[in-house]
Amino acid sequence: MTQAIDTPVRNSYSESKKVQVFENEFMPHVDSMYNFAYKLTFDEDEAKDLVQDTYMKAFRFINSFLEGTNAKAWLYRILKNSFINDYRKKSKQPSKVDYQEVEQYYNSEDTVSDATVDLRVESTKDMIGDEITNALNSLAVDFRTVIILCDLEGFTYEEMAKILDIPIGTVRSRLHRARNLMREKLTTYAHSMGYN
Amino acid sequence: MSDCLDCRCNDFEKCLTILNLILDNEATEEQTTFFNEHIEKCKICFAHFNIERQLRQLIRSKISHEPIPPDLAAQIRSRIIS
Repeated sequence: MTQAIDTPVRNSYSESKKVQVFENEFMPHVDSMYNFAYKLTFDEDEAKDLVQDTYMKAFRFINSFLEGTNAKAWLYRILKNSFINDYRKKSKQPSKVDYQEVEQYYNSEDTVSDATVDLRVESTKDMIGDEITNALNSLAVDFRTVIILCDLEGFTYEEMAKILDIPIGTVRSRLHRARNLMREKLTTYAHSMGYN
Repeated sequence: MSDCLDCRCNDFEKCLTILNLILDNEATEEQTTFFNEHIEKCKICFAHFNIERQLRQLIRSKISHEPIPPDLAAQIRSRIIS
């Protein structure tokens, strides 16, 4: 189902067929593409540009897309690559902690100790969406991305591996660390609000 | 030597890995069976499972979805057709 993400195929759609494939397979995802773009850039104009560029690229390379395969994952991959190549550098966003640095830090024997960080039902049931959104937005972009792809968009590990060009094992460990960071941030917030 | 304070098993790390796979719908049937049997006797893993499940529910239910600007789809279409 996902082979079109990484296996080059060549079709030769007619001009009218291109428009039809574009409309039927790509346009239904424009809403979630914009949502993803906004959560990467935090800027409405940049998100719009990013989505438009993604769709222009998708149309230009439409012959590499096999009709009926996983259009959403294919589009996400293009968007994520565009973001890294074109937008990350010029983003107004102050530079976040470098991902490699974060990953190295959390790589150290973290599984057991991190899991003991508690997050009780009582402490979070009254949390409003803003706190959860802020916690997500404060994560380094690579951690934020895996949470969005997995928890909000429901991609499988295999799809995420192809979208992000990383091995499945890295998807798993990056997700694990991203969730630990979320839990720590939410626990800190819960404590600051007087819960626990 | 055991690494779980509750059931005294040596599988705590394995359990943490599997519970994440289960919650992400990535676990095999065998892993799911193992874990379901395990949490009947291990309160710590049961608690971790609930915490992890709750975190996912919180993210899914509370993260706002950015409304798409109304003209974006039309702009994209017009650039394709031109």
